[in-house]
Amino acid sequence: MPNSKFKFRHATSRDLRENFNLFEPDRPLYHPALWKKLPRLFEMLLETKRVRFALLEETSSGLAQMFAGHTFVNRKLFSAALQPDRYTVSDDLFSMVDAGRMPFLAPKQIATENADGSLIGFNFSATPEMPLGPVAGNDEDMLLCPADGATNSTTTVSAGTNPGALAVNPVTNKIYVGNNGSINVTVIDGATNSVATVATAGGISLVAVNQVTNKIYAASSNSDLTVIDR
Amino acid sequence: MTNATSSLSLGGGTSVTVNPVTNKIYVAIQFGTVKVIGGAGNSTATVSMGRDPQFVAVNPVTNKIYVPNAGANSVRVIGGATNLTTTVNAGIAPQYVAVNRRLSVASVFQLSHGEFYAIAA
Repeated sequence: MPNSKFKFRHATSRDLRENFNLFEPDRPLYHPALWKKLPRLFEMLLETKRVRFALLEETSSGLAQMFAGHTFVNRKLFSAALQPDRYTVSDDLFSMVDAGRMPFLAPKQIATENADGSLIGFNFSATPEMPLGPVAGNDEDMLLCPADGATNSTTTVSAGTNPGALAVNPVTNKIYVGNNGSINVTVIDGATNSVATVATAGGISLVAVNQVTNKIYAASSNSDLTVIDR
Repeated sequence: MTNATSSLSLGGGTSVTVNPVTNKIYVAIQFGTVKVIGGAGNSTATVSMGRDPQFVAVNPVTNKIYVPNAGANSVRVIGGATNLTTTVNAGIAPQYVAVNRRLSVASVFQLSHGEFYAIAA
């Protein structure tokens, strides 16, 4: 495949609407579908530009990895991207992250930011709606637990300080949150939302899970790699 | 054992990823290398990157590892079996990469410019 280039920032509302309509418009995008299908949406956005590739693996950990990869580099993202009762995502996520701001949007909605800074968004229902109101805010120590697929309820789970990395072990249903500020990993039991804290060697920049061996690897940019053995 | 931890002194890892198929762990090290850790015995190998890598991603299906090299406008691809590398041009100052196993494509993106590049994975 030849290399191809696409300036994501210039996606128009029409691009998105057309994409959205292609994107299983009758099927609400709840968790776990939300987490699974967002990469697909990105992919389709790009496909309309005749650039055929997807951003991520179609796994929740893949999505988490995307967030995690962009959380750090001294930019506030991950904590800001997560808000109780709200999902947030954008095709221009990275630019917004870079600018230190993220829109907070209700579930079933996706937003993007135009090059002129205006926000547009779409509801994941049969009829796309726009615009959505941008919501400012930043709650650094809170982590959104993805909505329950049956009830769409959401729960907020407290993580450590400056949580910036996230990985999921779908086998054990454990969620690992790397905390850069508090120098530990928060382990969330996906079934009960109970949390445990594991001290790490340094502030965590990324977390990876081997679901086969159930080992968790937490990287620190200024210290040792911590291996958590479940 | 529950949440038992151990540490591997590698010299500061900016990114980590796992190939669950081979049970190898890849850590991008600030000082111009990627460390390859055997998950079973924690043996390590070092793959030179030339410049400081910030991020690392793996395609467990093809057993290839992707390391953006912002300074060289390229992505270094590590063959998981041999640890030998090849270089693929990838836009301007690529910072991150993600692999789509189904499409066998790696997406390379640059944070501040919002640009994306696709390379065959």
